[in-house]
Amino acid sequence: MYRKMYKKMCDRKPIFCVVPPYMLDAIARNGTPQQRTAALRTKAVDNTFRALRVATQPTRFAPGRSALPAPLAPALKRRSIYTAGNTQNLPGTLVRAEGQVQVQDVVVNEAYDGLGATFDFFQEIFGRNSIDDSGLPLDATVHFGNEYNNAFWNSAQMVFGDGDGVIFNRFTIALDVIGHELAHGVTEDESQLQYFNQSGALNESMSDVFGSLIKQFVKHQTASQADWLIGEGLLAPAISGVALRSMKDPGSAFDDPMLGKDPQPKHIKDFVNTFEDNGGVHINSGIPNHAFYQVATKLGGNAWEKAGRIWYETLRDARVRPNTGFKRFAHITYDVAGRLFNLNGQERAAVRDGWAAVGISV
Amino acid sequence: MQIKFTQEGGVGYFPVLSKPVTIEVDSLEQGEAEELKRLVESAHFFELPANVGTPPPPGAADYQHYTITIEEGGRSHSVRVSVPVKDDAVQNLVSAMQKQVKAARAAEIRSRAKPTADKKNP
Repeated sequence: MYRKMYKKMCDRKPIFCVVPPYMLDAIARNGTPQQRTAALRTKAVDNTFRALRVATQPTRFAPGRSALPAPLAPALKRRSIYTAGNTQNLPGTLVRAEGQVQVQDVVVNEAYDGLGATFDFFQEIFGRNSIDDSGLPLDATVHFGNEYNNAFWNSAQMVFGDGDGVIFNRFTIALDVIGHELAHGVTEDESQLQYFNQSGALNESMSDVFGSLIKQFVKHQTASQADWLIGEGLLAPAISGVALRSMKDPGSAFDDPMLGKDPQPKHIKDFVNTFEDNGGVHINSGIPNHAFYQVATKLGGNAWEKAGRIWYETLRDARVRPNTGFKRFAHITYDVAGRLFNLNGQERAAVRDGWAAVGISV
Repeated sequence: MQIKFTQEGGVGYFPVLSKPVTIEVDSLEQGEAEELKRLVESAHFFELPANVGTPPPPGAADYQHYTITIEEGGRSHSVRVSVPVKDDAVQNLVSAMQKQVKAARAAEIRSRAKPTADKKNP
């Protein structure tokens, strides 16, 4: 229908296809009678387009966001990196703003580049304008706390500790961890998956999926070339382990007396019921993480092109509710794969088989 | 004085880091014990509310919090401390405890590793 209408409109006056509505108004007011007629006709079609775009939008809008499509302004990165100077005051002192040259401090530059890579990934691959799809400026604070062993998203910005150097290195060292934190913002904006039990594990898994895809995108890696590790380089040299998590083989990322053994399951039969970790959000995320890995490697090529697209559109799907669990989420990915690609296509079959590998049937 | 310290949350789940650690303050070296007691006092620990720090706002993720329980002379008090902590005295107490927790874990690992080492070199 779009194409037909577009053709009809452009058969008349191609120039009006790119003329913004306010200029059409001016032409309608001040132009010759013929120009006036053409401008008004174009505007009528254009309004129909807008109405259609809103009506057929598959997603629901986050509270507080306009129900109208975002203006088609070019997506602009607006990064600000602050330092907390080893205190716990947020956001701290601005040390590098958008467009400013590199500074001496590697941590600041890693955060700046990581935010940039994350922004570019969402923009280039999914056409998303920042975390909220409305150009939200990206803020991060580094050197938070003293030897602080963590990174987190506080619902407005990212925060990175330096690590103690004994168990953890600096948290900006891993690009996928930066992507992970920002992706929490995307999830919050699109589906508000509650941060406990299965919906929380899905929230965590979305962050791992996008974090890993951002790393693969920057490294130009296909699904088979990628290591599928989350937070490689983050564990200090003396620790026996390769990363925080493995999407390829959940449960294998570390085994060290200082940390214990990686507790992630990769099959629903090993689901961990616990009150710790918000009901095991960083534990049971291994299950949907591994399902994504299975789907991406079955499809081959760049994981962000098909598997990533399916997961992203699922996150934006109105049927994903704040309390959605694994089974419902899996069903929606299967449905979305059919909608995006082909009902009988290999994409949908790969999604079905990927979930089957972790014991979830769709 | 006995202090029980538990750390929860963060960007990953690590079984050992999540285990509660109990510090018998009076069995520490005298200087360390005095320093800890001083920090407990300057944080006004027994007068603190049950929750201090910044609880995670909706949509936040990977937040950490600590639970500190101190028993002394028949009284006991528990406080949940959510990062970021604005109160410097509380933060200093947390840092000191983390140092003790790290030392206690290192000692435990050494004691577990020892028998194996002896077997290797009889």
